[in-house]
Formats: sequence, structure tokens, C-alpha cells
Amino acid sequence: MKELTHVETAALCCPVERSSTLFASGGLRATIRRGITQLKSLPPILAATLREIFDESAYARFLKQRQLVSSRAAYAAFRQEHEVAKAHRPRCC
Amino acid sequence: MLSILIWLAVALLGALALATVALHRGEQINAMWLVVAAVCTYAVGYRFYSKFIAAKVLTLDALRATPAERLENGRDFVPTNKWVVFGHHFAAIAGPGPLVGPVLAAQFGYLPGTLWILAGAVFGGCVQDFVILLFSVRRDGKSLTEMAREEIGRLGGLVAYLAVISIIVILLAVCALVVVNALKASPWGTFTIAMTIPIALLMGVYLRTLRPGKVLETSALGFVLVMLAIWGGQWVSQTPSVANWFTFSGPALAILIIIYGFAASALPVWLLLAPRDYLSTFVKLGTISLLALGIVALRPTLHMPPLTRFIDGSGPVFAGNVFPFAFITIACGAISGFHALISSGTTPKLIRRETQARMVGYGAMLAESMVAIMATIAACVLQPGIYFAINSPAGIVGQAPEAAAATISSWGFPISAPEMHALAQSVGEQTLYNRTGGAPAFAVGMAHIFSNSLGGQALMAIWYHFAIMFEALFILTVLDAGTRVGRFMVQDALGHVWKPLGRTSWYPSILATSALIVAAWGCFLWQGVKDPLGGINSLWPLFGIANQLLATVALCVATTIIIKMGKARYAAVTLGPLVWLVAVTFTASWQKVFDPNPRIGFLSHAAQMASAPAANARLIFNDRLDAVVTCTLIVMVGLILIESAVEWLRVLSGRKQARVRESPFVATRFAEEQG
Repeated sequence: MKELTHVETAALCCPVERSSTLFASGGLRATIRRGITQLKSLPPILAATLREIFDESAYARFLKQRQLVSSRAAYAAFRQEHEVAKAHRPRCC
Repeated sequence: MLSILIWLAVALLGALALATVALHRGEQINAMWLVVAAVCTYAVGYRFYSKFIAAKVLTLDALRATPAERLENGRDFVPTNKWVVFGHHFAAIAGPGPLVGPVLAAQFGYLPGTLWILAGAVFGGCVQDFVILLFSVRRDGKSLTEMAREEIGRLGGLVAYLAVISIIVILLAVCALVVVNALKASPWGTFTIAMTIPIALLMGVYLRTLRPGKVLETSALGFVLVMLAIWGGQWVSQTPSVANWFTFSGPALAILIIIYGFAASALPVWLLLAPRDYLSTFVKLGTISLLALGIVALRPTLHMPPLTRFIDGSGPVFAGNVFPFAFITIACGAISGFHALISSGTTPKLIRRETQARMVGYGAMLAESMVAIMATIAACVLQPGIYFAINSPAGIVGQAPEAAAATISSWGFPISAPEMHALAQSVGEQTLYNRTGGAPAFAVGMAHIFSNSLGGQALMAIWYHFAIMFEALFILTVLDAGTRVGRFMVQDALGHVWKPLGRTSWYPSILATSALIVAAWGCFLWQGVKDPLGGINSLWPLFGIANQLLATVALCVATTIIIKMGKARYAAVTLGPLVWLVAVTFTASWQKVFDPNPRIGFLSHAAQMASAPAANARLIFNDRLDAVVTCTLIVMVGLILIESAVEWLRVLSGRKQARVRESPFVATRFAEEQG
């Protein structure tokens, strides 16, 4: 499955925000269509969420920004840059 | 029209479920009533109350660029998909608190905790998280401390800083105590948790050298190894010669955890802290989802009554009346000041559209609140006798199994020593008596739900130790991350006194400040393990008070900003929960310090100990220290309340120009996107 960037996944889930006005526009059929679209977009969003939580997206952005390919050295540089910020973050009770 | 009918149906179903939960007496009810009441309450709260706040109070602006867009740097500031931010934020706010607090508060019955979790979240916790998140977004992602200094005054900033340090120290002590009480005399649990250290180290090396950047894969591998450790733990517990190596008393475990905390703070992040954090998050997300599925699949019956006799303050788990102690025992899950640190930390730097703050801030807290409801269910599916046998300290029910069973039965919750012995055997433990702290009771409840959904009684021991591993791993992650954060905060402060001390890479400073933080929480932990009343009786309320006082600081900041925005007529949105928290925390603090009942008041307990024939100077000192800490916290928050009130009056009377310190408006380039 193609990996989606955060920008692409944002576009994917647009109809979700409007679901608060569930039956306001387009009737039942449109609502069902929106529901199916939402369901289809669920797996890539879930994958993107996990990649963000587990810092894989941050590493991908780092590689893209520095125009590097993944390697031990690149990952070590990424960790060094990110660990200072990460270590300052409290974990909630 | 259809929409109105649907929301009406949701509201009516919620009201029916709440009425069933609140008014049923004499008969046991199904846990699904709690789930339905919670889901409907959250749905109505999100749809109507959060929308009202978004539209009228905060006037979320879909055209305004967020700091993630304006300051995008690919590192801290990254415009991110709202569901991804939601998941990220939820993973950051969900800690052991919503699991442990509701289990402890179940001594009052399931009703007080459930009502507080629902009302506290919808009107307090979610509002705090949402409002602070939005205000931080409008201030380039500034922290709570910075906002307090800018919007209230220098004193506000100082108090916020001290409150954060205090809460971190007390939180770490109480977390460590929960782990000690869960693992003492438990070779299986201790072996499993001990194994997570080499597993985390292995993950660190694997991630850095073999598969750079493949965190999910590494976490999955770590999870498989942890499951093997749980399985191996059974062999360890059944092999006496090996079991001896992993059988520790409370004080011995406390020393080991203190040493671990110091090492984790001083070791490189990539080696231990980061992989353990990933592993913990992996297990946490999976287990919470599994527990939700288990509850829905099993639909268990609640055996705990809605209200117990202990609402009068004589509870064995912790002493104190249902008001105020139920409301400080359950913090995370209802309202937690700690969340304000997350809402003004990473999350505001990821929000793509201002309008998404509602879903992330308010919505993620609703999800956390649901976790607290699940913990309440896990505790209340136990027979009350079993619940009290596990959670009551030896100082209350006695050391001998027969004596403990007789005492608990005399309270109206029948239990026998053979029954408890059989339960301990079924979960692979020598005993389940006096396992205070909430974690073992939660683990037994969770194992009950899991084993009845999957695997039957044969897997009860595996599920119990899975739950213990999950909680301990979770808590130790908070412990090592918290120690490091505390260390950085102390280094920041000491750097103003002598610059080299502020350098986070200078080893003498690292060692000195790590030792300082570890000594601070280690002192409270030691006090807890030596306490004949189990430690939780004094430390958990202290933690609850500190956490809710931080929420008071956050709500003071929020109310000040709302008034300065010219929205004073809506200030009740944050002023309401603020008044409630002030009433709760000030009453609880007063009672914890001055109550004449020695089981509640620190000073009367110290006086009782001093008058005993064999006075224990250390325990007397501990009580007095707890009293001083509580008073200090209250004075600090009193100061910020006064400073905030003065600021409100000056602005409202026109003596001071209302000026909010928001970043200037910049139009977003994402305006065409929906949401």
C-alpha cells in the first residue's frame, strides 16, 4: 500500500468533519456514500496515525528535508535532533 | 428533522441509562448500562456543548493559519492530519491515572466515580484541554507556564512552574509505589518487568543498527519478546530456586526502582527511554482496544453496589468522605491538570486548522474518559469482598488471611480465606491480600473479562500477568520520562544560578540534577512503602490534590484569557469547573492536614504516633512533611487565584485595557479544505 503523507491523509478524511450535520445535505443516500468513503479512508489514516505516534513520519520528514536515504548514520542524526525535544515532553499520568 | 430525532433519541437513551445507573438499588446491573450512559453523554456533550464553546466562546476561525502552518519547519511545527493529531494527543494524555484512580474510587461503589467521570469530563476536563489547546495554538504553541506569566503575571508563571515540578515529583512517587505494591512477593510479575529492560535495550540497538527508523516493526518484535517473558514468568514462579531470585519485599523493590529511575535518567535516550516508550505505547493502544472489545463481548455484571457504606469516610482503601475525596482520587478520566501540559506542548504545533482543536482537545479527552469508565467496570465486576481483600492494607484488615477475610465479611462483603487462596492460585500468585495501589485489582478484573471472553479459566494467570505487565510497563515509562523532564526543568532553573548547571549535556550536571529529582520522589516512595496503611492512603490524595491544583492554574489562565477576549459573559464555561475544583481541592487539603481523624489528617496521625509507646520518628516526620507539602501547594494556588481575580476585576472595571497576547492573524492556505 502506498504510504500517504500527512497532507494527503488530510484530504482523505475531509468529509468526516462535516458528519456533524449528518442528514443536513444530500439525504440518506449521500450520507451512506459519505460513510463508505470514510470507512475506506480508515486504514490509511490509522496507519498514518501509528507512523506519527511511533515517529516514523518524523523520520521520513527528516530524510526528505535533508535529502538523505535511510541509514544508520541518518537515523543516528535524526535521533540526536529529535531526542532533545522528545525528552522534554512529559508523559501524562 | 431526522437529525433532531436522532439526537433526541441519543439524549433519551443516555438519560435512561444514567437513570438506571443512578437509581437501581438492590439488584446488580449490567456493565453495558455504564457504557451506554457514557457513550450517549459524550455524544451529546461533544455535539452540543463543545460546539457551543467553539462557536460562541472561542469563535474558532477557519481562515486563521495555525503555528503548524506559519512556522512549519518539518520538525516541531508540522501541519498534520486531524485524526493523526487526535491519535497522537490521545496517546500522550492516556497514562496509568485513568486506570488506577477509578479502581481506588470504586470503594465508594460504582456510582460516585461514574457520575464524576462523566460530568467532570464533559464540563471540566474536555473544556480545559480544548480551551488550553486553542489558546496555545493562538500563541505559537506556548506552554502553560509561559501563558500564565504573560496573561496573569510573573507570580502566575512562577506558581505554574513550581506546580509542575511538584506534581511531577509526587506523580513519580505514587506511580513507583503502585508498581512496588503490584510486584512485591510476585516472582512472575517481577521477572516479566525485569525482562522489559533488556528487551528495551535490545530494541534500542536493533533500531539503531539493524533496521534504522523501523519503529513499528521493532515495537512489534519487542511485544513478541514481552509475551514470551510473560510465558516464561510462569516457569520462573513455579521453579522455587529461580523464583527466589525474583521475589522481593516492598522496600527492596523500592530501592531497585530508585536505582532504575536514576539510570534511566542518565543513560542515552535511544538506548532505553525511547524504545521503552515505543513498546509501552504499542502495548497501551492494543490493550485498551482489547479491553473495550472484551467488555462489549462479555457484557459483564457489576457486583459492586452503586454506593457502599464507605461514602462516610471510613473506607479501607483510603480514608475520607465521598466529597471531596472521590473527586481528587479520579483526576485523569474526569479532569487532569497534567493534560494542560500536553495541550500546550506538542499538540498545538501539529494542528492544521484552528477548527480541528475541538475534535483533538475535547474529543481526545472524551476517549480518555471512556478508558476511566472501562477501569471502573474492571474493578466493579469483581465481588466486593475480593476487591476489598486486594485493596485493603494489612494495617486495616490484619495480616493473616483468616483475620482479613473475617474483617471484610463483617463489613457486609462476604469473602473466605480459601476463596482468596483459590483466586491467588488461579492468577499464579502466592497471595492477593493487601495488594494496595489499584493495579492488582484492575489486573484481576481485566483478567476476569479477558479470560471469560477468550481462553477461559486456563488463561486467567496469563491474562493477569499480561495486565500487570501492561500497567507496570506503562508506569515505568512515565517514571523514566518524568524523571528526565524533571531533570531538565531543574537544569533550566539552576542554569540561571550557574550557567554550566543548565547545560543538558554536561555530565556532572546530569548526574547531580538526576540525583536531586530521584531523591525527591524516592523520599516519598520510601515513605509509602514503610507506611503501615499502605502508602496509597496518604500519597494518592496528595497526588490528586497536586494534579487538580495544576488544573486550577490552567483554568485560571483560561478564564483570564476569555475575560480579556471580551467574552466575560461566557466565562462560566471555565469559571464553573474552576470554582468546583477550588472547593474540592481546598476542602481535601484542609482535611488531609487538619482532620482530627488520624486516618485522614496528617497532623493528627503524627500526634497519634508521637503519643504511642514506640514512637516512630520517621513516620512522624513523613506526616509532617506531607502536611507542609499540601499547605505549600495550597498557598501557591491561593496566590495565583488572587492574582487572577485582581486581573479579572481590573479588566472588567475598565481600569486595565484588555489585551490578549495572540499572534497576529495570518490567512491560512488551507481555507479551501473542509474541516
